[in-house]
Amino acid sequence: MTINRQNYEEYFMLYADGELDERQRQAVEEFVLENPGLQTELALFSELKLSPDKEDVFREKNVLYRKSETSRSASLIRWWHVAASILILAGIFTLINYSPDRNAGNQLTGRVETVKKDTTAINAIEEEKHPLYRKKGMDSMYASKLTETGKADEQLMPERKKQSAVKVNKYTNETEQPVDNEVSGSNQPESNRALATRNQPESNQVLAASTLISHAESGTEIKVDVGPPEKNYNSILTSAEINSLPPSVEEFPAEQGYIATRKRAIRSFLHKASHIIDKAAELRKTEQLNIRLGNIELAVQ
Amino acid sequence: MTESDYNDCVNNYADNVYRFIFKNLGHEEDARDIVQGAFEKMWTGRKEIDAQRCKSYLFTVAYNLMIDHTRKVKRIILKEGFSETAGIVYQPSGDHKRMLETALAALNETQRALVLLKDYEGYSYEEIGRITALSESQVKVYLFRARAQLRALLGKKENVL
Repeated sequence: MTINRQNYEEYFMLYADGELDERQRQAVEEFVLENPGLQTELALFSELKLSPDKEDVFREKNVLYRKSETSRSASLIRWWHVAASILILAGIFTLINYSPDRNAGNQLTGRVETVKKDTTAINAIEEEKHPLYRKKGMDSMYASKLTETGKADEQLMPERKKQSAVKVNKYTNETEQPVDNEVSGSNQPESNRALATRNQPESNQVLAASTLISHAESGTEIKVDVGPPEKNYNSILTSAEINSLPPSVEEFPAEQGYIATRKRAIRSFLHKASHIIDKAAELRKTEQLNIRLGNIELAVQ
Repeated sequence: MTESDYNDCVNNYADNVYRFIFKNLGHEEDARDIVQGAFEKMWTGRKEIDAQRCKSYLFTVAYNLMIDHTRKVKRIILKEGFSETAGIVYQPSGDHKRMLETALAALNETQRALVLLKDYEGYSYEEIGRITALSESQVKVYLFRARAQLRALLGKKENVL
């Protein structure tokens, strides 16, 4: 198909749109040269071409961008894991460190552990002095003594079970006693007097050792001279008995003072609280919507 | 098509497809909605889309959405004839582009879409046929009619001069 005056417009459009091959383009150009009056029409087809307006852009491209759900969820899960772990650990740490009861427990446990260390040291000293002296021998000895003492001594067993929470060693019961004393807040002078009347000279040595051990917490040097096991038999029994007696306040004046102060504070608080409750009850009887805290009364409209 | 290919397609062709739809509809909000819908569809079916043909796919989807939109809202009145705008005279120089766009708005949606795909994006007739679901010969005929109308609008130059 050749270009002529009947179909030249179609060819002009194809020429302007770039849809003709090289040979067809040359044919169109030759046709225009042969017909100069149609040059304006060919130029007009070129002018009909639209050019894009660069100002018309899609401005909110961020709403079009996408990220795979898998990678996004994986990263979120990782963050959640980390955040949850941190929160849980922080909560546990706070509860452990800021609980008043727990602090008190920690103090007691610390003291008990200190006493344990001291008793262990004493055991080592005793074993050095008396190689034949062994815990096993002491265990059997103590059991036989319990059998001899009968019911009176059996009453001591629950006491010792209580002490077993602090890992009771028969031979170190005396040294663990201060811990119980501190907890119970009882007195101990009677136990000292009982020891003075009951014990033999050898057993007094053990008693003296136990007294020294009880002060080991203060850092004083401990020197123990313990006699042969056979001679200490009575002293062990008496120590067990002593454990059942109230502890001495004089041995722990600071702790006892602290406990007494706490007791006074709690008693004072409860006393004031009972006053406030009484006053509130009186106000309720008069059907007045008042709030009284101590000496201050607030009227609520 | 991967996630990266998709986002590259956003970077490279979001403006083009928006311009194409906006010039067809003459309505910015509708054009934006259609472009978002087209990209949404492309993202959904990205596993079946060849990254090399993402532009054609995007324009095809956008064109179909636009056709659905215009049929629904009847915002554009199809005009097969050219008699109503025959009286418009050509004004050269700075007003040429504005006059051309005015004449473009007078075309029916198919003609306008074909002209825009050809002039704005430089698609061949064959590619335009694939996007608009027309044959190559149909594209040629429709485009010829569109050009004739535009020329009639702008070809009265000698009357102005």
